[in-house]
Amino acid sequence: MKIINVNLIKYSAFLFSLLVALTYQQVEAQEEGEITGKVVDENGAPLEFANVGIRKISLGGITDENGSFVIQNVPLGTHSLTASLIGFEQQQIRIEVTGGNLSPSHNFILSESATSLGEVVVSGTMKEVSKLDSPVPVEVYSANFFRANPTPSVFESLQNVNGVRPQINCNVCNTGDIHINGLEGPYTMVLIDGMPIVSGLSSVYGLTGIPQALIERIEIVKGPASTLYGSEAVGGLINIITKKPAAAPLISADVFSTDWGDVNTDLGLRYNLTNKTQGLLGINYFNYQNPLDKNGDGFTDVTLQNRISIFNKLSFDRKSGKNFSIAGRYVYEDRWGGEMDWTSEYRGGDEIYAESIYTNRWEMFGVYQLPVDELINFQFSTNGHNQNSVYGDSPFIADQYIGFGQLTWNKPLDHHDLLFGMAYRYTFYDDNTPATTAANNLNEPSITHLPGAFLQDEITFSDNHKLLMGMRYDYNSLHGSILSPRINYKWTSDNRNNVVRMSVGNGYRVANVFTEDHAALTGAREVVFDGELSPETSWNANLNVVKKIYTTNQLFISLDGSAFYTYFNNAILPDYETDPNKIIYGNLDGHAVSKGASLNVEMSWINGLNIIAGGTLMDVSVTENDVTYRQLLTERFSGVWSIGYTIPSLALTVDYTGNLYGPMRLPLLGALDDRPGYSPWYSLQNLQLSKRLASKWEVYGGVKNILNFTPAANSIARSFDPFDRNVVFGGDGQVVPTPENPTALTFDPSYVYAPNQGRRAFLGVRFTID
Amino acid sequence: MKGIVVIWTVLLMGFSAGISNGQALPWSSIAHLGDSLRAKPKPLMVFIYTDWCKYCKMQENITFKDSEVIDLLAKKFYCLKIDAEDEKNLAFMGRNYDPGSEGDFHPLARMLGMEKGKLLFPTTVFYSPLDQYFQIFQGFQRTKDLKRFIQEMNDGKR
Repeated sequence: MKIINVNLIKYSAFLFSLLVALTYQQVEAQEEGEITGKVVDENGAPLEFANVGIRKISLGGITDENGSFVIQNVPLGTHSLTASLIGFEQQQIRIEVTGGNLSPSHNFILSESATSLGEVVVSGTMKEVSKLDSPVPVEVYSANFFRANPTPSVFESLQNVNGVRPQINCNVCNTGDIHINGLEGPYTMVLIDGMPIVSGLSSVYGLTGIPQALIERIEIVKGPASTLYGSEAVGGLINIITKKPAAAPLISADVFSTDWGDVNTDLGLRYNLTNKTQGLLGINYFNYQNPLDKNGDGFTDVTLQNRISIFNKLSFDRKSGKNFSIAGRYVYEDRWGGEMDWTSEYRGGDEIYAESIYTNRWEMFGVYQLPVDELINFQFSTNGHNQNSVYGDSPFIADQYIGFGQLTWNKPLDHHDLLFGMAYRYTFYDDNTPATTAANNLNEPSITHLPGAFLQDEITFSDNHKLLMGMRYDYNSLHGSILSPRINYKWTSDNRNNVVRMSVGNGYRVANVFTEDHAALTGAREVVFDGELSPETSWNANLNVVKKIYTTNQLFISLDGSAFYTYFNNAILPDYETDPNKIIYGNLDGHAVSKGASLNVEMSWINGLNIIAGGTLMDVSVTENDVTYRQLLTERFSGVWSIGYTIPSLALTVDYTGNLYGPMRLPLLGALDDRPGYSPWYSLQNLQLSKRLASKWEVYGGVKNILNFTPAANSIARSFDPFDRNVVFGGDGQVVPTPENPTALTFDPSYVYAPNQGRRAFLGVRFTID
Repeated sequence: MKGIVVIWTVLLMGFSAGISNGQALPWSSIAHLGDSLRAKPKPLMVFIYTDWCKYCKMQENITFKDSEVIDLLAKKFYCLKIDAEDEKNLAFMGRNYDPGSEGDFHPLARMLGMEKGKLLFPTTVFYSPLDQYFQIFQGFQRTKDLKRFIQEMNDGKR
């Protein structure tokens, strides 16, 4: 409740006159005076309808057209006189009424009150516009959306979004990446506040440690966005927008636990460092230390994790009202998965198998609006990532440092809205593998300079038609010039209920298989490079149709359909199949295609029932040497739903969420492998009840994975022999079938299509002070 | 028989009153607000919306179509509508609000509707220039809640 002046003056003025009338006889001698004056703004223009009064005795009036006021019947003495008007800073002065013929006068000069910033979409065009306005289809999910199915990390939360699948790539260490419309994880660019922070090495472990208390919303663009964001934005981008300190609660705490014994804690704290500097501190702590082997394969079902992440954001009030904020994050994680009897003393040895990863990571990023009349922003980010890991007895130790700076200039003209930008990205990467070893066997860290410039013009022809054209040029120090253009068109109906968007654009990415493809690291297979890898480039066309229907019977329906087609000129895909003991990476001699369609339906009733359901049909194929095959680990159909109902009288909300995935082609270990070549249809479903207690507390609980679906127990090949001691290899390096190993397998954790965590109950509590 | 006809008539009348076809809330123009206030001072009801916000549309289609709400608002208030994404200058109570080029929501919408640093849609604001009384309601407003508030405001309880 924001109340500028609680006193009802008409009411109080009446009381006062009553008082005056009653006491008049007794205080006959007492004189009264009047106060006159004017209220003007800083330019001297008169302010009408301003309220001027003496609050203590509830006496006052309204200024007229000339800004003038007269307050009569003022008792003699000194009073505080207040002038207020909505949109202006209130002003108070002391004034003495001496009576006689002297009536004091005061002129108020009111200054305009500041208005703080709002919250809107950022991703699609790098400018803040609403979703409907953007020619680029951006899906916006508020932090609230993800509360329907609370998870300890952003990575898992994204399972609630249609067409987005967090894929676990390793049965043992449970690392994963995010697939958008069936495209491999490294094609997904992950940004925090619009900055490329989670990339390369960190795309494997970077998404887990973002405190959820700080998330304002998550924006998703499906389809390439390299024109604005450069390398990596091939398949789509996920932009995590953190809260502005001013909009965050003073204190928020969210703790939840499941009957598997994991505990997730999110804390948020807003504070004022000085009266011009606001801060927002967030801490996330996740702990799971309960090794369970429910499928009896001798390996932990779920990776054990101990993780802390600290985030702090400062925003500075500048006199000019321009933007300046700086944020930092530090993450430490210790995770391991492997044989049940493993302890850290076996780390790196060949007695008991486990994958153990220590991650140390820091980030700094910020935005500063230049103190000039034009809208020029400087954005910067820098981060360091250190990974110390062992996969069985093979160590993988890697360091990555990224520096990024970007200058954008936004120039709105009559029908044009120009955005010009220059960016520079520096990447340092070093590890203990042949990827960073020179021909003379000396370590040679990979250093990439990536300067680039882009120009975008958004042309508004009328209320109905908008066209956006953009072009980017990058110079990669290893691969040379890369050009990425795009064009987007949007039509909106007169009543704003129908929107059609069309887009064509391209994306590119410079691959680093070691950092991004986890399978490359898992002991069993040898990594082979077939020639020099070129950048991966794709062309994409997208059609998006949105229709909103408002019915008279209190129901709103929104239909949002998209058709997409992406053609890869070059793709670096791991080849698991030519040789089961190798992963071969090479330029694609052919092309890859991802095509499909998705539909999102949202239905909201005024009574509090809300249904969101979506489905994506897609076909992702690779054509190599004129042979076309389906991409591994990619479903043809995925569906997602979220049904929520709030009973206002009980402050109780019921959420039923779920996913349905079609079969995926799975990586088999050679012709004799008797495991199914395709995963079954499977569904993960969750039920949650949450109840608000008073204004500060909320309790929630429910069951995750109600159907208790887990992948087949033989998903880890030869889990009983992780060091391949009893595997017989022939002269050509191929596995020879033996009576002990009739299907000629080796230890392999990459046959994974679903999380290996069965049904579990969870309970949590949230505490918020605004 | 006569009784049945009467009952049917009453029911039909009640029904048509309930859906109140054809009746609409009279929206005032922000440009003429000053003249209106000078001629007849009344408090304001300001509805802040965007054209992509579903609950805004629903409030317009449901709450603002209710005949009682329309009656109460039309008699006692000047009703204003502000599109938070309006790109035009808006003058309100002596101050000019220029949306500028920052691509953010309209500064008048922010000034009137923002609460705890957040602007949500829809937002319904009650403001009386006479005494600077000001009250914000963020989110969808049900017919009965809005009715009760307007009644209380009329009765001087607020």
